[in-house]
Amino acid sequence: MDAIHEIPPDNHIEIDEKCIGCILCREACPYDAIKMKTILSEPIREPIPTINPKLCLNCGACVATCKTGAIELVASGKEEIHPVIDEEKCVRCGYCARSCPSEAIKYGEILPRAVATGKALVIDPKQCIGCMTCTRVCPSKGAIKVGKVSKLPYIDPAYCARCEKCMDVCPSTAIKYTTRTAASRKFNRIHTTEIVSEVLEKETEKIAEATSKINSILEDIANNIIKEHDEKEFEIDVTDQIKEEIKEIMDGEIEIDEIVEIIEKTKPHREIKSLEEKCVGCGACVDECPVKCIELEMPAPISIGEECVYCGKCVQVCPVKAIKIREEFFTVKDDKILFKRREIKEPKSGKVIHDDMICQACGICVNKCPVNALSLKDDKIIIDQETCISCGECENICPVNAIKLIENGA
Amino acid sequence: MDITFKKSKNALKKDIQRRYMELEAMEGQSLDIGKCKMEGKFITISPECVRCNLCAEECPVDAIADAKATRPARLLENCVKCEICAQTCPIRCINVVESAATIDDEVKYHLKDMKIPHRTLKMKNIKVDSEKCKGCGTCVRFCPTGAIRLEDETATIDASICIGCGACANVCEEGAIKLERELGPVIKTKELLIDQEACVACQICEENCPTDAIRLEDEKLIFSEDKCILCEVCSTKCPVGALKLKRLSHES
Repeated sequence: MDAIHEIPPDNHIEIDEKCIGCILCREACPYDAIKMKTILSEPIREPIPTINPKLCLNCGACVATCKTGAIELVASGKEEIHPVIDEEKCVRCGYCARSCPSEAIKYGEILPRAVATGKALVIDPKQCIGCMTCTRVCPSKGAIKVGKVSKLPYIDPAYCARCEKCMDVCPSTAIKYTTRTAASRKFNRIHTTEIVSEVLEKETEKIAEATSKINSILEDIANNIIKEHDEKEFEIDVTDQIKEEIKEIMDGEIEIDEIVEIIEKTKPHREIKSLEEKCVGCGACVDECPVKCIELEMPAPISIGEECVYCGKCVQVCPVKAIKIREEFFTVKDDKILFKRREIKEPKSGKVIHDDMICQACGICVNKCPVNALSLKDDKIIIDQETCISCGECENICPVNAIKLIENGA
Repeated sequence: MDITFKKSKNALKKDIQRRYMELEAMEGQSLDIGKCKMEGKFITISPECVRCNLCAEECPVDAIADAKATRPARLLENCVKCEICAQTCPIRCINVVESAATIDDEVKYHLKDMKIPHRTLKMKNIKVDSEKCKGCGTCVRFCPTGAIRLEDETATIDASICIGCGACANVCEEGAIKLERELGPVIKTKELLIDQEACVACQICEENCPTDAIRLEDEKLIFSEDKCILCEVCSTKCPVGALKLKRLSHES
């Protein structure tokens, strides 16, 4: 390297800055007269993460997660409380960006710089065939975006380095130079549409996610009403309550405009009991019960087993009105959603309808039917309306809501 | 489910401006979002999930995180919306939601459950190993039809109302439940229409197809119908509209 020189007059040794620190000289010196001192230059630091003040909730999540204590919440004078990153302490790990609940912290992305004048590249959407070759050759990440709506690529002038690689490979010569102002204007127009569609899509997804919980909400509302009310029969308009509860699981600014249908998947709550003080133990119900779930039992005159299908036959034959069946369910009347409790005083009547398309042919309704009115043929349910006693047990047990009882007069 | 939500246009504008730093360069200029309508399709798993894990097992692209006793099945980002899970879920808690977001005087979101035909599912044989069963009762809580009860601290299954979903077997920590079932074939609800004339042989479909069902040979599209899961990847990615997914009518 020629880094070692003998300097007259005493011919002492000096080492100049050409030295690469290979320490061959130190190893060769018999008197250990050469020592090496290592100097590390200052590390080259990446930019620190940026915090978008408009998105930041000042929640302090980043402060808590920062391993080196580089983020502090600061409030001074007129400034409201906000997080500040200490450039010295920050090790650029990006952990804060991952912990931010509102996506306000960006890390590892270079933010665009606005240059006012000069020329810029644009893609002419009329000539572009959408082959995306440009996106593959572009060396600058983020310079060529692909429109979700138009499905065509477009160039962000703030990221584009004008290397012209895309221009060279474009098979349809759709990439051309234009003025920077025109390019920015074009970009902003396309990009705004893209952002709007992205925001709409994200929001719709969030709403769809939230609406999957509607059934649980309805179930909660039903349980609360059942607990609070002990009237024998009632009809409560729950439309506003449902709207309120659904609104609560959404983000503040979204509200319900119109409900066309939400109760399709709810199932009725049913309950049967015998009044000991009234029952005379005549046994009329025992004979009438289609599932033979009623037994005479001492000391209580009768006991009703879990197999009960709530058909209402026993209620009708009981001479002393000692059996009560009540049913609670959601229903719709004049655009209002009602929660209703009613007593079943006579055998139910109606028609069972079945949807082949949703039915999974598991056959449990066939097994559960107390009067064998259902059968399965070629994976399709066949209903014998004559035999059917309209108890609704099939509707209640169907795991996919493929079978329904339409009650007369309902 | 069929429901419409609304929100003011100003609230949407605020969201847009807040979310994107890039638009800061445009400050001062008024943000004109105009009128538009966007249609979409989402798959949701409702909390009623019985943890049978059948959806995850049937998903052709592994886009569903396994359901466990402690956690319902969860859709992952690589979902390609083929709807097979919705056809399979034995309690229909996976829904395909059709959505339309409209910006006019205010922003409206209309969501409606699509009616998806269901594959057949039949329980063939189910057995509880009474040696292994510890009587913890977890299976009882998840059974969608209430077919399981504890008798003498052992789970007892009423086979007549068992649908064979396998929730009990999946949540059982002891592996005490053995189930044999018969799951019917996936129902074809859509058809992929290919326009060879319009195709520009860009290979985007070939690159993106999750099941290698489509490929280019001598600038011609070769389509393997048996591999295709009728997801919406190629039809949405095709830049020239040479691939279209058409929904078949299933009302009969």
